[in-house]
Amino acid sequence: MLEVEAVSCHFGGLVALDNVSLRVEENELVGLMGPNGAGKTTLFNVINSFVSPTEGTVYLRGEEITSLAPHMITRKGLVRTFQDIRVFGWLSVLENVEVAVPLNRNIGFWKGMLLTPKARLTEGFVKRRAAECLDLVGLSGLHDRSAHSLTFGEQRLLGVARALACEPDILLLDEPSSGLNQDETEVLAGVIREIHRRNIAIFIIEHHIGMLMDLGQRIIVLDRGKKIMEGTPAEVKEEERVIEAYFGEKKKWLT
Amino acid sequence: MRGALLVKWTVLTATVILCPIILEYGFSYSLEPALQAGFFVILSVSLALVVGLTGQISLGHAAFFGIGAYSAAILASRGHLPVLLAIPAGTLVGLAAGFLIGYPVLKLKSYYLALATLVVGIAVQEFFKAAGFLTGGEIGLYDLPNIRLGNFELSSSFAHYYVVWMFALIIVFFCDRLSKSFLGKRLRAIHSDEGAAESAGIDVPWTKLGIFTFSAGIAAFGGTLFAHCSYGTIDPGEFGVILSIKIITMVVIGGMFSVYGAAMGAVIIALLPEMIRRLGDLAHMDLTQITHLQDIAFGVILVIFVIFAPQGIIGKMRMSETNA
Repeated sequence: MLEVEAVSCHFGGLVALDNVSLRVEENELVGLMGPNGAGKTTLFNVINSFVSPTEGTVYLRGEEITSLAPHMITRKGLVRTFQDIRVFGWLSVLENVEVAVPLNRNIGFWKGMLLTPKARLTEGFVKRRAAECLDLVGLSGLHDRSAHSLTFGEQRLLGVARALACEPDILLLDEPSSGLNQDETEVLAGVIREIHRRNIAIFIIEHHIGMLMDLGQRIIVLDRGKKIMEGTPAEVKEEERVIEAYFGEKKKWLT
Repeated sequence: MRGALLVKWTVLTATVILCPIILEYGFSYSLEPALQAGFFVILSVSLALVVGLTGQISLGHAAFFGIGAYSAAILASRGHLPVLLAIPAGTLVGLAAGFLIGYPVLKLKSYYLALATLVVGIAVQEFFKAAGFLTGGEIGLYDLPNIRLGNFELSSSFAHYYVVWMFALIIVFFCDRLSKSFLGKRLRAIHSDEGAAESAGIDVPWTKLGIFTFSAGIAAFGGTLFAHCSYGTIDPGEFGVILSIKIITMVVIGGMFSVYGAAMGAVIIALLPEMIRRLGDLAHMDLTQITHLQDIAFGVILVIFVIFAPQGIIGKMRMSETNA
């Protein structure tokens, strides 16, 4: 499905990613761990083409996507969310999701101005599709609210709904549980499980190894731009001493 | 919802139709400010799509108005093209100019974009001044032909008013629809967060260029009408930075996201100098004093809006609705 091959990324003298290779198979749920500054978000930025890697290539279903524009990567079925959420503040909750439904792009200048019966039909379909995505994350009652008026946890879920509306085959979630309380995290874990059940592969940055134990089939650990290990959640947990050596802060982020 | 729209448009159309009749026969006012308001509505609504909806600041919108006006005027008066062909031709030139200018400048953001569009606006105006063999230099072009329909020439100020306002209303109607369509929502998404919009599958550079080109085309169309459906004269002084800033002001006081608001802002800015003039007359002021008073009023209104109603008239109205 997704293949990252020998990717390095330098910002001036700083090595953010150093020869990282990994694969995410179809319908797989893979966790990505590592302390702050390990290069996790940079890796996501390289995969969805916000950042060009200094070296290396990214493949999606065997096709090279390293130099594609970000919107093209989304259209090909690889969609990401953001750690800092980034909802569209000038749009309502429903509209936030509508603009991500692929079919909405059928409405351009002429159809938008003339509003033909066919365009109305498209509109109806897009609205229903967007509402389905909001249902799935549990935001059904909030369609007309402005996106900024939602709580932090709701905005997170809105970000996930927006990503889902893009009809991904693989979803990259950037620390979806950060800043959430216990209840919100559980809701989120349920949503992720539900998405995974729909045969969407998930690549997730996550600090709570507990959550990954719950969800994940495989975990990749990154430190200072290098991939330092890969294995099942149980294996990663057993490698505690290794991890301790690398991060020097046992338990703190492992719980 | 549909009923409300119908009522709104009936009132709007009736006002536009009756306005000159009342002004002319009721008060023997000149139609000049009302005609100017029509042009301002076209300019304001077209810029609202770029600045308000998409959040891309442009301080050179008057350039496209000028490009449309000069292209049509040159084709009609020097190329002897019928006006009814010169108008679409001038609009096409404006569209092309919008694309060619938008392509490089829209790669810039915020202050840099403002500066680049400002410089483009100044450069275009300087070109009108310098290319005398085409544009008549500082003096500009005059005795421009009116629109002819068969043997009938639209030469009266009434005819000018009705043609300009008919197109202004059509533009308001369709731009409003556009702003509420999915394209409008994508533009607001770009306004909110370009990176997030890209990752939602929106082709941000192309969409921005599309709306900029479209907006330039409408402004240029307004310019072609200005050349052939007004006094029949154009000169470079009319297409300067001052006009560009006036257009931005119209958009801001009307409310960033509302096409109707932008139209309302245009009418206010067009009629303001006339209202001030009449006030000044009452106070026995002379012409220079009145001119100063007009400038002061313009500035004060802008400051008042930026401080007390940055969301514009329409935004303010919506807020009080939701609070009630």
